[in-house]
Amino acid sequence: MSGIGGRPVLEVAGLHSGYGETEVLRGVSLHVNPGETIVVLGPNGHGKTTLLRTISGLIRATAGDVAFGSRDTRGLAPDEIAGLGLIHVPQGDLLYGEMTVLENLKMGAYRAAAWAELGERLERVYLLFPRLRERQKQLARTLSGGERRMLSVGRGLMGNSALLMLDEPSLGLAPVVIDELYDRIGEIRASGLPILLVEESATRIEGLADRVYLLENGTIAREGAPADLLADPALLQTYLGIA
Amino acid sequence: MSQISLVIYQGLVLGAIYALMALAFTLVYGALRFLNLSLGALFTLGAYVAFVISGQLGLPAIAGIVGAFVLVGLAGVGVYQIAVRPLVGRPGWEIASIISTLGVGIVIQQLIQLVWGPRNQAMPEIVSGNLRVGDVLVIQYQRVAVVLVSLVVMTALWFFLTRSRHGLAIRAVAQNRDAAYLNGASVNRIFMLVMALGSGLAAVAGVLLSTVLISLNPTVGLSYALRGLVVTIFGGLGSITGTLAAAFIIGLFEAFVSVYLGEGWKLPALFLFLIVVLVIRPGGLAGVSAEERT
Repeated sequence: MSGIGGRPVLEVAGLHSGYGETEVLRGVSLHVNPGETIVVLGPNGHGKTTLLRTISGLIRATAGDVAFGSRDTRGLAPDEIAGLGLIHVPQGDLLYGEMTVLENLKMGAYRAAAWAELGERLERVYLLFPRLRERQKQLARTLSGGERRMLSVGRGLMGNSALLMLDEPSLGLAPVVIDELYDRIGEIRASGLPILLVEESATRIEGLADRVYLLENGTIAREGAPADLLADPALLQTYLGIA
Repeated sequence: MSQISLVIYQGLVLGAIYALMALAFTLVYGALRFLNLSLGALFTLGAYVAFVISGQLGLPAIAGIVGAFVLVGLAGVGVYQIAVRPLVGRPGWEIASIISTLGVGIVIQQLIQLVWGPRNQAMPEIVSGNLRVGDVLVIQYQRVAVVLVSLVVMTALWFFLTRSRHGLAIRAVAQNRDAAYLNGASVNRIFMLVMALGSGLAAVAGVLLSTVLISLNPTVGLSYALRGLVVTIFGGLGSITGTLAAAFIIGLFEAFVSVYLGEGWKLPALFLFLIVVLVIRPGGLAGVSAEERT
């Protein structure tokens, strides 16, 4: 699917970023083509979360370019970037714990364009995650880990999404729950929405990812088709500790 | 028996006013995590705006209340732009903002004194007339109106915060700023909205209090800002339900002290009460810890 459909949805070039004096990203370049699902694999602490937080504007890049569609998003505030349709589902879910499931979802559609279609969007998310419909009046803090993750993804889908960025959706969940969640992510992918997903574990990306990047020490160490990377046990062992 | 009814009557009126004042503090604290100390002066400014509209121009009381809410709400946006926005996000800005808003508050109070003078002004009542119940209790329609206005404002606020798009965003920013950003909410604009809303609430509290006292002067806001703070901290900073409960408990407590011990004991008793409460429940009534709120 890659390369079809013209210019990339997202193009990151030579991105540098970090926290204060500590540089975490040292020149990351990657792109997402229309309809593609891209997985960035890397060990903990090598910059996966920083990468997504920099793209969505929560952290200011120190150098490099981020282009979303035809827009240069450098210097834009996170809310403006979200308004363009670049949706970031953050690590740890960042739910509004004292708000109900329904209110959390409604906040996902905060931008005027999305709010105008609140009903349809809600229906779409409930179709994907029927559990959220059952729980809609509950406070978000009372949800189980799996439900929290579904709500976090669902809230992201409530927006005017043109690209969905997911930060370690499997983190802290039981294997059965991860399987279910990845099935849902597969459905989102099938709908044609481009996805940029970061994960520490390579176990569930085969069949989901169109291309994979390996992020190591703040730079892209390798890029390729998932089959090629997964067929290289030495590489997986070295970078990801998986035999 | 009749003295108890007097305590309840006075307590409810005070509670209705304190509730608005404390909601002003709590809304701003919830979203921005700092105590906006300009609210005392904005409380006074609200009373003077209503004094001009209803007392001097002779328009109906409702026009004075709405006018105070709107104009002081705009003044609150000004306070934000001048005293808060330049500090937001810098190290220690929550503490710095307490001091800068206190400073702006002093300037506002002095401006009020320059414009209207230091003397007491006569504030017209919203409605006049009494209803005598038994031999001690005389219910003034004026005070009933104060409680009603406060309830209407609080109900409207509740609908705004739970049903409207921007109200939802205010609560979202209070609970998780990064998430609100990622949902496309301009945190800066939400901060401005919160400052406007908080200032408007303080203004309405100021109008209501001055109609009860039937007079106003430039320093009236100080002691009531202090009571608003006591209620806010007692209720559990940032918690709306805790604040409402605290406002009426403090109102009743103050009425009780002034009926049974005398006026002079009100403030000492109030602070003794606060100290005891904070020793027992350091998080206040609602007892929300900082970790839970974020």
